[in-house]
Amino acid sequence: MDVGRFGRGRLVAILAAVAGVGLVIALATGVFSSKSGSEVGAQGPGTTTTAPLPSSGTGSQGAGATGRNVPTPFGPDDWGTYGGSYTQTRQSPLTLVAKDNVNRLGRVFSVDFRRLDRRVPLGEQSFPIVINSAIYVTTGSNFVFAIDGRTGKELWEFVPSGTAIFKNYGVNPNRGLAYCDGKLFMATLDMRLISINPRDGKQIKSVDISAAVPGARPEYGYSETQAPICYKNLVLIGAAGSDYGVRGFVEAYHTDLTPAWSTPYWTVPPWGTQWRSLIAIAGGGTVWNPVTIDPLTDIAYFSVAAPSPQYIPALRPGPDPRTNSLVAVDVFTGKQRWWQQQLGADSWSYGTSQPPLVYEATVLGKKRKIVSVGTKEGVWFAYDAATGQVIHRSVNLLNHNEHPRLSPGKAVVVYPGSIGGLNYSPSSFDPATNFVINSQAETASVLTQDDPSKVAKNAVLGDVRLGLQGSEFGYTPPGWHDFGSITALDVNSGTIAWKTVVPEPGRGGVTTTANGLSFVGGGDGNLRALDTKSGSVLWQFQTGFQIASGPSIYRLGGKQYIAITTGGTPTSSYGGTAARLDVFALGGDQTQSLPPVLTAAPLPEAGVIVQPTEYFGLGKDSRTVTFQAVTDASGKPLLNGWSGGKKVLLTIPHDWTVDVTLANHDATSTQGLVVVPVSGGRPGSSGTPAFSGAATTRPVPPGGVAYFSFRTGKEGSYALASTAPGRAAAGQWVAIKVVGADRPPTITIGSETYTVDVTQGRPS
Amino acid sequence: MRYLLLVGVAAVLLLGTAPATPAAAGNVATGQAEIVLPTQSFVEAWSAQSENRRPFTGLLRLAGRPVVGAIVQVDGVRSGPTSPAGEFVGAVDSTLPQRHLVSVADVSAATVDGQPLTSGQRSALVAARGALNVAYSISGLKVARTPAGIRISGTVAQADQRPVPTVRIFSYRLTGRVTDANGRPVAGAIVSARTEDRGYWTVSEPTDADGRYVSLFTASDESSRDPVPFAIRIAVGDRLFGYLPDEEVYFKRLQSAVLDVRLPPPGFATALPAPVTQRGAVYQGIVVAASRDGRPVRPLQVSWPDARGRFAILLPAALAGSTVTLFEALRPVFSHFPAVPGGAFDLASWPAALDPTWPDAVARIALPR
Repeated sequence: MDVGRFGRGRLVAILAAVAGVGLVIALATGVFSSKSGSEVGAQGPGTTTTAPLPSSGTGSQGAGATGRNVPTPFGPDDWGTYGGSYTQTRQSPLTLVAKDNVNRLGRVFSVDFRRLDRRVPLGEQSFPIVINSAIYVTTGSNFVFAIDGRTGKELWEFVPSGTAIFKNYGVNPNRGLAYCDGKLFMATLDMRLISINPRDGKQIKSVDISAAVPGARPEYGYSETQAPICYKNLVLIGAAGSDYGVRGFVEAYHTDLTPAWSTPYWTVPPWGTQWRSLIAIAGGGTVWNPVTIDPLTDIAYFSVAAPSPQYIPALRPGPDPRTNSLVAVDVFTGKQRWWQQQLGADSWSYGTSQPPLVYEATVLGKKRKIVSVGTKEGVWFAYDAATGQVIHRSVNLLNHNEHPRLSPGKAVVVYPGSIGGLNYSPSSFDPATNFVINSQAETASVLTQDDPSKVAKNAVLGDVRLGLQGSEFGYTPPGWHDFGSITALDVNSGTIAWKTVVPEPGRGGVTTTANGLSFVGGGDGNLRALDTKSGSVLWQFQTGFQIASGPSIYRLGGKQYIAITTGGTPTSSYGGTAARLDVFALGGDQTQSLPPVLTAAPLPEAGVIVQPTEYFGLGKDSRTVTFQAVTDASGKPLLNGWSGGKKVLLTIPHDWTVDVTLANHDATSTQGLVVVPVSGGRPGSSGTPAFSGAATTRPVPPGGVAYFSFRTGKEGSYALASTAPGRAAAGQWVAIKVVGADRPPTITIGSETYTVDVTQGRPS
Repeated sequence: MRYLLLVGVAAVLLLGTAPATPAAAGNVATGQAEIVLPTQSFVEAWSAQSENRRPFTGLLRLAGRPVVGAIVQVDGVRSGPTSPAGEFVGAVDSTLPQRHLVSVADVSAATVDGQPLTSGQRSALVAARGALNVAYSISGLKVARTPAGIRISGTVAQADQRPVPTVRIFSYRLTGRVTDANGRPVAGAIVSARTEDRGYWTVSEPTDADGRYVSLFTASDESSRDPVPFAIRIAVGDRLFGYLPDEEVYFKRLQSAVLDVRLPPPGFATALPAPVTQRGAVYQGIVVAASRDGRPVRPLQVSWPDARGRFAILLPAALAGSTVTLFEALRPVFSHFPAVPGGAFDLASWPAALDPTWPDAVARIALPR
């Protein structure tokens, strides 16, 4: 699945429970307008340093220059694009770090993005680019940082507008930026393409992708997590959203963010037609990872992901052409050259996801230009780059590769599982050995296909029904633990030359060097350097956090650096634990971190009482609680479904503030609330508030809302009671007890008492 | 396949006439600017073997002379400079009915007969407009007066004569208004909704200046519960409003709803809203209807095409003797009752104006007196 926006449902539900406290959820203690969404691209506090203007590697460019003769905007010391080069082969020409000195690599600096800005969410899948001494890196929710490549000092921060909606996204990574024509480019979760000034992080321009790609909006399930690619001043993007059955596409833009192709390249038919006609949510075929380009031919290649519903091919009959495929188009026009499908009628969500690699290799004894890709099925393909002729097909990369067809109601163990073999994890080609080095996930899942008629019933756009019973992506078989492996695939023969097994699934990809090193980050937190020829691990360094991104290698001041983001993804190895950047060089600090804890962490429940209580929580300020009272829509004398103060008791410490919200759902009665002393087990009838301000100030009409605040005083028993005539006497009240200031607030429902955990701090 | 210029083609539009001025020495006299385009073409079935575009060649002329070196744009995508013959090339999606808008984007380097343009000529060119229809073909048109009105019927099909995709349910609709604690509209808010059993949210368009929003809405979960509980959140910039945990909002199953939300003052719980059920859902299909003088004619009835593409329009008798044109609209439409192939279109959703991207003048009909 493209986990651009939505990972495991359970995680999202938990995050929803944490986030949905019923209060304003401010991302920075209420006051962050200095970086608010209304101030797009605003500087953060103290971040006034400008970054050195990236210089082009091979020549300057005119503003807005486009066409076939635009030089590359970065040089051999840079890591100027997602994959190091447009061919996505991820090989650095730098050789200062070699097999005989790699064991001297140490960490020269670390950046904790959440320390720079606490709004940065946990998790990191960003692939840094480095241009002329500045590292440009993104985080979840589309924050961008420029970091001095030598010292680790923050140069500037770009803060996206409107980040609150991103909190809905269970997994909201961003995998990086593109640079060209003097600008940085980023695609945002909410489907905008923006350009940023690399000098100071100010936004230059923002466009809705839907202006050029009709319907490509978050409302229809689209999101962006990929790094754009800018080639000869054309910015190329696809999008994520297969889970929603969106229509996949690739589009190209000029650097002024006007569309460059006459129409988007759509990967699948229009909505409701052909194999998308059985149900409203059939679709997919997204291109959610970066595009690959051969600069010698100006042909672009991209991977097209799985169709949806992912696990029920019967609802999208036939091979679903161009899904699970590799496509070649003319980069300047989007005109199709050829396409090849790796897996038709997919029922395991084995999409083609990783960026393809294009390169010249020795194949079956002859030098040849080929394009190759590994898939989530864990198999590898190679094609003639010009014609698409198959050269190698379905070369298995995994220890265990077995996936019987699914049938409704039958639990089936499949290898690999839903995370797949090669997910977005990019591979690297080493010309010296003729090997493609892959970092893959060895996974398993138990999948039980759901009844197609049940999946199809009442399915409308907005629904996500992947087609499994009981879980969205299956579950891990008992006794199985996902692990990883790094393979060298000999392109000549199409066979595996060596394989090194590692403890955790490989998600972040490989970067090789021209002198025979392969750098790979693992879900166990280790960054490893392997001998490309033999697979021996020559060096490893425990970074302390799961790694789900690939290394970027650059040179500054005669020194070679390896940069990698850490923090990982919740979809593997219990990642999503940090948002950091580690940079290594010879002579760096070799003090390693403690390994990450590879188990699910208990989630904070600050100020929140979970099931089954409702309506009562810790307030925004110190010594404050909130309470919501909802009158019954039927007119019954109930508050929140409770009656007579018998079943429910709120215990609130003395001298605490209580913020009360009244929502009058009663369709016929005007309402109000007052806090009065309890006498004889019933609310007193005087109607005079027991505490100053402890009452609604005006009648609340049907459908109306009111707010009031009071401070608890004398310890004792009180009632929060309806002021509508006769309602309190009929039972429309809630019991409140004011207790000593040393006691925490609690709510008792029946025989269960739940405590508001005030030690966890403010809800977030 | 390239479509060449034909004189007298219906899609030629003559606009942007500049006032006549005395010809400057060496300059062509200012005159009519025209974008000349091919005749409309028909929607084709999508194919995996191509990028599904139809290339075309158009002409840009001024007073009948080719304009060289101008940049034309089609649907906002710029072409290369016009050729010495005044030609420009473009391409449009061949698989969806759409009226593609063509205009002149840049004349800064343009010439006519080797001469730079005067400001009047530039203005005339920049004001020129053209449009290229890709439409479903309409055949078998019949027009008859009936006691109820004037009935137009026909068949709409793809280029290969296969029937058009029939109307189908698109989604349910959640709509409403977001206001602040003082009842003032909140613009730019996004309302999101999710059922208990699903890890995925639907999100609304940002609220407009009046605080109004529209969202896809699933209106069901995998259980058979009715009403269906949803978690609702409201994002405003960097602030996210939600409800206390498990404090769900209940919606009538398989119906649309109106949900007005009142955001609280700082520190207070967001008041649980009470949705109002709105019977109906959003459907999408092609509608063939009549327009006159550039405006849609409100019919007495119009049907969705059936499985064979047959449609019918009933127009008021008052239109007898006039000429109408047919347009095609493919868009999501709210219907208070189920929209089915061959069934009635909900006129409560009748458009007040023609969308410029709807193919128009697909056919012209003289209504009988």
